[in-house]
Amino acid sequence: MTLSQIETVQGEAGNFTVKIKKNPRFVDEEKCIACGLCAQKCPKKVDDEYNMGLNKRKAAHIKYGQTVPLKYAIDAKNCIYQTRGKCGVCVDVCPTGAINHDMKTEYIDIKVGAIILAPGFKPFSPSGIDYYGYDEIPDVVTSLEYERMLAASGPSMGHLKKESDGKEPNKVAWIQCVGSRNTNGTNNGYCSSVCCMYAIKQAVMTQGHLPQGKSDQTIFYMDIRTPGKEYERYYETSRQKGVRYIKARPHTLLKGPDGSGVTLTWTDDTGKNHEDFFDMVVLSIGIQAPEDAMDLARKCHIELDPFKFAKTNSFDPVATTLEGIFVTGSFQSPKAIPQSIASASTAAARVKAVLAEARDTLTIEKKFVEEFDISGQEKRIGVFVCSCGNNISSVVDVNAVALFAKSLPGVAYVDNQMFTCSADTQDLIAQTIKDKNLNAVVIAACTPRTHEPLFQETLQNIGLNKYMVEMANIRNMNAWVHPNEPEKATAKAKQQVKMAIAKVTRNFPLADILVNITPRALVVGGGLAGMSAAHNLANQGYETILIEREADLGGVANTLLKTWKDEDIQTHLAALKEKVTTHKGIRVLTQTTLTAVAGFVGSFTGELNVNGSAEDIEFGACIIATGGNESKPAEYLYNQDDRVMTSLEINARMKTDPDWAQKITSAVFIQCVGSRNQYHPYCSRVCCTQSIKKAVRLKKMNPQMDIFILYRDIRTYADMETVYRQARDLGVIFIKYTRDAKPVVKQENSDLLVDLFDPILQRIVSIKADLIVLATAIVPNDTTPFVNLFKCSANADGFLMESHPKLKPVDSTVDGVFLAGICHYPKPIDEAISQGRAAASRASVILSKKTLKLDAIKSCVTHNCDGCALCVDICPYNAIELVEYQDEHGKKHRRIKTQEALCKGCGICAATCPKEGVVVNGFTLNQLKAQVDAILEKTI
Amino acid sequence: MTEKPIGSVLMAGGGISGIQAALDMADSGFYVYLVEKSSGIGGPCPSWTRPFPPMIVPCESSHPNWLSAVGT
Amino acid sequence: MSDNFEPTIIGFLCNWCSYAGGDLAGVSRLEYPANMKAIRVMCSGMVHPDLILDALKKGADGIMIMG
Repeated sequence: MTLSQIETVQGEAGNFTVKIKKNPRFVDEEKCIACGLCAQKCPKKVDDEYNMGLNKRKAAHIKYGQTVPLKYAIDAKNCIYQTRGKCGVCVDVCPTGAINHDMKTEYIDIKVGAIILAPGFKPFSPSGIDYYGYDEIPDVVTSLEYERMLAASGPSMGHLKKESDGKEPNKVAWIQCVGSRNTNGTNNGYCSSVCCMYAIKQAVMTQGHLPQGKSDQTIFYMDIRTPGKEYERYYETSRQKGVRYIKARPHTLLKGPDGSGVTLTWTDDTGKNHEDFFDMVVLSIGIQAPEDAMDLARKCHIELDPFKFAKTNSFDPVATTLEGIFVTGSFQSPKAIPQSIASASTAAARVKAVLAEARDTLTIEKKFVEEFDISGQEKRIGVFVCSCGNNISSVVDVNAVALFAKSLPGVAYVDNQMFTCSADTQDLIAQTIKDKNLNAVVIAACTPRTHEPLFQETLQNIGLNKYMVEMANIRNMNAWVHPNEPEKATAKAKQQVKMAIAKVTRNFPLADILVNITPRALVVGGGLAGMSAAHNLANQGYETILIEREADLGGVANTLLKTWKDEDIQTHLAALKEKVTTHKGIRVLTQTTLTAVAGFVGSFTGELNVNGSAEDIEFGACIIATGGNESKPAEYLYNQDDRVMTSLEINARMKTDPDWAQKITSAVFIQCVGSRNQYHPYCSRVCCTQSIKKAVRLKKMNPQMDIFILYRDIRTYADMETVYRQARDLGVIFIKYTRDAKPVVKQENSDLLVDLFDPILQRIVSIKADLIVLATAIVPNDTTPFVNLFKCSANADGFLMESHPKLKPVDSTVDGVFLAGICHYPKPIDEAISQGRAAASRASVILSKKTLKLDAIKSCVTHNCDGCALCVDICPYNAIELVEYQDEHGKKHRRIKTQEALCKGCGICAATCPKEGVVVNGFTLNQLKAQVDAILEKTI
Repeated sequence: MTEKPIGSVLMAGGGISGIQAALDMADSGFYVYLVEKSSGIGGPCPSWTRPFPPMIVPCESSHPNWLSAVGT
Repeated sequence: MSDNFEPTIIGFLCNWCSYAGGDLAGVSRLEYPANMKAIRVMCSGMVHPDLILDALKKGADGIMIMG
């Protein structure tokens, strides 16, 4: 339901009644064919919000080219007919009569068991803040506007130009933390989490847009925050590529001398003023709670935090204050895409557990009729040519195309339709297949990427194998791109139809692959992430085996005390251990490791070593949550002076000796010990917050204590920034150091001293300490067994890789295997719990089904295969193996065997094979060659 | 908690996070109402260029257990 | 080469990227010459060298493999 929002919420978890307000679109979605004529003819121009107002759209519009649903909408606020009762041009030009200006706002009551809120965020507006000059200086833009300028699909087609004079900007500056980490004039005392990374990305992309070596990018920052997976490497690479980083907050922006460009003034750490001229300045604007946050919270009866984000806690990070209502994305707290997607699966996991009893009660399963046999038959092809209103027919002579198709061999029937995709045409196609005894179909219309499933279903509905249809894309790849060459377009359309006929002539029925699902999950690793995953899966109703290498559950969480929000970790951990060990659906095996794995998604087998004895298991999905630990340093007198300890060691000390803090007069925390260097070229993500949190606790226990935190960048992302502010308010002293000038720890007599260069005082300072805490790099527990067992991948640092770093952050590179916790990347406990449950949600998508249906576009071995095995190593999915077989004379041969469930149909094997010993069904060399021939035969 | 929960879910917001949650639920036996304030789903993500391509949306929009059409 | 030379170009387009890009070019109404005919493949990696040689032998003037 688009243009819709929540009006009221009543009821309780399991049974809510929600009133939805549905605003009118004024376009009937069933009838709209997205031809765009209404927008072409609409006389009303308004700023295009998709492109940040950099260009115009019409009142009749789509949000952007790939909008889903791809249906136009009329914006009532701007439409001339809606505002003044005159115009209505769109009604006249719409070829399908889809426009209806009489549509009214509707209210719809729906009954649901749970609600998830994901209203997103509102970008901070720098308008009205005079020192940024956004309103006065044309060449000051926001990062979102700049992003659209960089985009090939943007208003300037990816060409950078200054608004003042239209010239290319060579020197561009970014100003970070605009509207973030700022309590002066705003209430945004949090870090927006995403701006450092997008600014670096924009700077690097800018280099690609401008002549090599001539451009200049400068980022003005407070702390560079790149604590995500592979982010630190990206940051380092950008420095090597020449992006300049200046630690300062520019205080004055003025229009350049001739009205274009910007003059920036800033003060460096030493108090010295600088001025420089830039062609363009980009304001890295932050994320704020959505505008209607308060309203939404009131309607849903949930509480908000002081920044107007939904209030949640670290142990159940997607649960709002009302049972049955969950939150995901940036409305929980500002987050980047991977964390947003992971939290979405977390929310889904929570819902699935709450509503476990009601699973499969309201969903619809499609049923198909039995297929008829067409083997051995001559091809009788039906060709259906679409006019798409006049989208195709205004350029391509569809009648000529139809006439031509009739002349081709194998074609038994040809017809032309106004809209081939409409529901009544589907009935017509089905009836024609029956009446004319067709056994193959060609649809000359739009793209198979969006419409092939529709036509496949039409075939299936009457019992013709769904792989007997081919499409000729005469709209997107013809009429729409050759509007001024109708003759050439018609000739090309004929060729496209001929190609599709040539291909379908060589099609044969294929069967989709069915994999039986073993409805059981294996969770490897009994830490917080693994236990959270297992507990959620069991609550969803799936049998779960949880294995742990050690004798006790808990992993590294056993050594943690409090979250940054001051929640007690041990209480939660003890409760979770109890729930997991007593749950009927979970089998907990400690001192157990996984020693062998075979099979594929839905149907794995494995061998366990349970405290010395072997056991075979079967499972449908696996979650790897093997955790990590802090590394032990070899510097700063660690192991040589017992006043020097690591973060986890001080936890243990504080646990055993609560009064210990009273005995300390001066404590020094050293950050990034072994992190962000050549040995561990990544940021360990949690240490800044953890050290600051400890400093706050120590300061509260003993206000007389001097506490110093020596850091490179403080990375208290999102609302953890509040702890950083609290620490400074309490008098904790922060001193920045660089990788090239690290602090030096030394003993003098019995004193422990830390020497380092203080950039504010511009001199070396010496701090006497009776405690030094080293925030050391977090490393994963050895992941190589899993890389070998499942053939999944790990990155150079040993962390397991996700299937897509942004869009599939919880799925591993192997289907049916998911990742949670530190084995994926260092993360605080709320994120570890969240990812554990997210992995449970992803796994239950598989486990909820009895069988998994995979399409038939898979590699298939032919009689030509002689077992040369060239394809075995080259297959990126390890789907091919070499097997031995005996012929009728008892002679042994070798030949490859493909595992269909692992194959993705990429056909790299087919292209590698010198003898057509392996082909991809539906895309055989034969079929591709037939299309080539159809193009090259000069018969049109 | 009521005796017998209802097997459907309201997903309020059709940005990247909302779509992912809706897919996860619809793909494992729950009926999802995806409610979006604007005229199309996708949220702000499609306006980002590399490395954030618009993706999962197109091929999944015809999900049988996912209602994003008008008033049905 | 005469001025009215009309090359025949065969494009092998990957279903997941460049074929999608071709569709988007259509939605965006970007015009380009009608000489290129696209063959959809499931990955540019499945284009066999024989296919290219065969096409060139039979008279194709250019081949684009995009993926």
